[in-house]
Amino acid sequence: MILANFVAYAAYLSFVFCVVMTILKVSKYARAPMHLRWELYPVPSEEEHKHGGSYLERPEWWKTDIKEEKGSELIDMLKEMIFIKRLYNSKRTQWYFSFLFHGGIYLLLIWFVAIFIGSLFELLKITSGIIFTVFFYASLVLGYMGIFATFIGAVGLIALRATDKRTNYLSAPVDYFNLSLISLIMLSMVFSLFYDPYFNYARSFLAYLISGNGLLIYFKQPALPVTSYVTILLVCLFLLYLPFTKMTHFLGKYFTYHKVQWDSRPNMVAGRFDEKKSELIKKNLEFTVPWDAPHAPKGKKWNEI
Amino acid sequence: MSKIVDPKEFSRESREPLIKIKLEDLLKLEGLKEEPPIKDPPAAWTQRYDFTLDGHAAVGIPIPKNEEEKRVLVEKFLKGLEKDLSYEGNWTFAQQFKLSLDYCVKCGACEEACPIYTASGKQNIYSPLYRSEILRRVYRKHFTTAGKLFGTLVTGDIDENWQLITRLIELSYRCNICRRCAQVCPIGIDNGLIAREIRKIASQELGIAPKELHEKGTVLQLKVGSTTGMNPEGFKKIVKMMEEDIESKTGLRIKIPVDEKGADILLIHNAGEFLSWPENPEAYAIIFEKAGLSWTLSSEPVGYDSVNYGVWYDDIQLARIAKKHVEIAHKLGVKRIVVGECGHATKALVVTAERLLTKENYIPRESVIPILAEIVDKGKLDLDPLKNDFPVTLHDPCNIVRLSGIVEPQRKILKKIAPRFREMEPHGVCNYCCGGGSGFAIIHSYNFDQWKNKVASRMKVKQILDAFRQELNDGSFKYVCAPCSNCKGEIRDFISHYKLWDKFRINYGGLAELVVNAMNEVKNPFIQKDEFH
Repeated sequence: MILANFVAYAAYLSFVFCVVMTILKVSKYARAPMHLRWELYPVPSEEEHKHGGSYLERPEWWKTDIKEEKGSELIDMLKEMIFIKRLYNSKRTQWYFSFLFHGGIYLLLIWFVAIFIGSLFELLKITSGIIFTVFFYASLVLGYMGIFATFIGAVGLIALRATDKRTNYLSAPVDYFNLSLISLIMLSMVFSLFYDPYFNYARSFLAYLISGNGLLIYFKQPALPVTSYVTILLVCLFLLYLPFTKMTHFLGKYFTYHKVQWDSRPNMVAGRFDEKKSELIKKNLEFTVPWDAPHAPKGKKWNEI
Repeated sequence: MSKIVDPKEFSRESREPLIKIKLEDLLKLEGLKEEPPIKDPPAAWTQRYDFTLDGHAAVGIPIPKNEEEKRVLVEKFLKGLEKDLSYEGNWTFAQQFKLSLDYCVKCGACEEACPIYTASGKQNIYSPLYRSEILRRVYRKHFTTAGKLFGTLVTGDIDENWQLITRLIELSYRCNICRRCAQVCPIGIDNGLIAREIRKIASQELGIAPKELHEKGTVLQLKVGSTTGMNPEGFKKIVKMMEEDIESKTGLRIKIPVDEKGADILLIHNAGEFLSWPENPEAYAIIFEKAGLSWTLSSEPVGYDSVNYGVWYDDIQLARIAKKHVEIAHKLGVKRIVVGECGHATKALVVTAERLLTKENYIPRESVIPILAEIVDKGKLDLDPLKNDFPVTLHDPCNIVRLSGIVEPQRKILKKIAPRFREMEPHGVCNYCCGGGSGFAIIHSYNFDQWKNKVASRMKVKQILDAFRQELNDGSFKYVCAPCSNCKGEIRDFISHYKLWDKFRINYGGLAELVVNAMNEVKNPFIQKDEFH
């Protein structure tokens, strides 16, 4: 009983902590001043992107209407997110494991949604029907595939990191720790499968969490097998650790792609100046130069240099 | 496989270089039977300056004389890094810099994309990942909570002594900042930018930069008017000479407009063109006149030199020069600035400077290449492609293609005027740098020429030899079209080094020269097939 409550509170706390810290981390990048342009072609949102081109190919480009092809940007983004296209093209061996690993994580995220919906059914005492059955079996397929794919991928990436003489000397212990932690969680999930092959305990535990430990909606606390407690605690640990690591690169990637490599929008489009941008630039030029080299105008504002 | 230099060794105090470049390790150049040997640097240099990275020097940092100098060097670098991580000190690039420091997973995808790493025979110190990882370890150790709490478990081994700092600064000048590595990185990490930020810390905080970039580069340009040392009087004399040259070469009488107030276009060339390749600005004078454009050159200091070396190493100098270019255009009352065939100048003024300009001082800027393509495409010139009936290949300047997205216009032109045009592989946005990128073309200090010819340009030499494979030994004239002044400078250097003109009659030049060479109105060949310069 005490253990069950502890695990439930740990789950709440770690989840909230992870979300808050991640938001803070994202906001740190999002609050950065508008930087100088540093795009890299091809930029998928540009009309000329198929041959790697840009609106700068047009004479007097500022008089033209520079459209943003959001659909094309979305397609490129999805190719990168789902298939890790760049790694596929440049480092195939690594890609096999990386794809398994990331693909496995995506499956587990969808599995979690299926389990969540299953737990709602449980709270609503729905135990049959087509939708119930679909989510039940979907969670089985997604869960099993996700766990094994992530596990094999993580172990493979550890092995590659350890054996690739061209890069392994650059790995710090933390690089192995991150992958090992995920492998351990997956291993723990594999053991949990022996006692919870249909994820019934997982659904019940989540239903219990949704019910506010049975306080908001009456729901009897489930007695989980030890392996499930271990898995949940490991996941809690992971959630507490995640925001401080480079494993949040799924967020960093948003900025490196959208806010740097694909950020090619000019100040003037179709003869109209972007007033908002002008204000941001003026704000930046108000920064004071702190640099100390002899040629640096220390103490002056950027608009005075 | 070449020797692996562990990051721990990077701070080893020694007079011996970490690696030694050997011919047998380098990328093989098919078709080239021999090449000049590699020479060691003289003791007079190595005793005074730090050559301990790879036995070469672009910066040539003096070896600290005592412990105090060593301490100051490290302290200043760390102070500079702190400023570079702050928005106040680095609003210009801090966002992408921090992202690139925080999120690398060390997959190594960037390594194979780097022409320097590949051409060197995979010397690990040249890998984009290695250079960045050295800085990342220093960053994590001093500027992250995890690094402070857990030490080497998070940072990896690192000892940021003076030797690490001098080597790291020198190593930042073993990257062309072509950003091919960023193009293949699954996370979008920009190791090229990290090289630039190391240079920036060195320049803006320690006052350390190759003299060709700073003292004889941006400082001279802002003081005299041009990095070539050319003053306004000198420029005006050259314009007169160009008018005479055009007449003697082509029989055409062209008055080159200078300081024409209210013209539509202010055309700014890289001033190196006037001295080394005047045929390029001459070609534009002919083309613009024949196409009936309203244009002018400027004789105002800085207004006749489009270069902006700041884009390679220093944001303050970058902003100062861009601001000057814009001021001159406003003073002349032109409607737009057109940058001549110069890659980094295009990138600096057309792309990067965009966010230095507010509504009040904004002026549109563009590359000359799309304008040239439009002139050719609309048939404003009477052209005979058979006048260019020799093998032509196109070198894509990184700053024009990958970094500005100008890919097709130059191809449209060549397809119309050069019947024997063929692409290099890879090309377009996947091109390889000429080896002169990020300032290498103009850095000639110490023995740096040897390093860049042997390593940085090697991939481009291979590409050129491959592009002309069919005709390599038939004695025919071959033309590498490089629409960029710095690339031309580098190509000239390596053609001389490998004797590609003597052996294979491989020459080089710009894009506009080919257009003028195809003009029916120009009776004599504009491109001289019997001389290399």
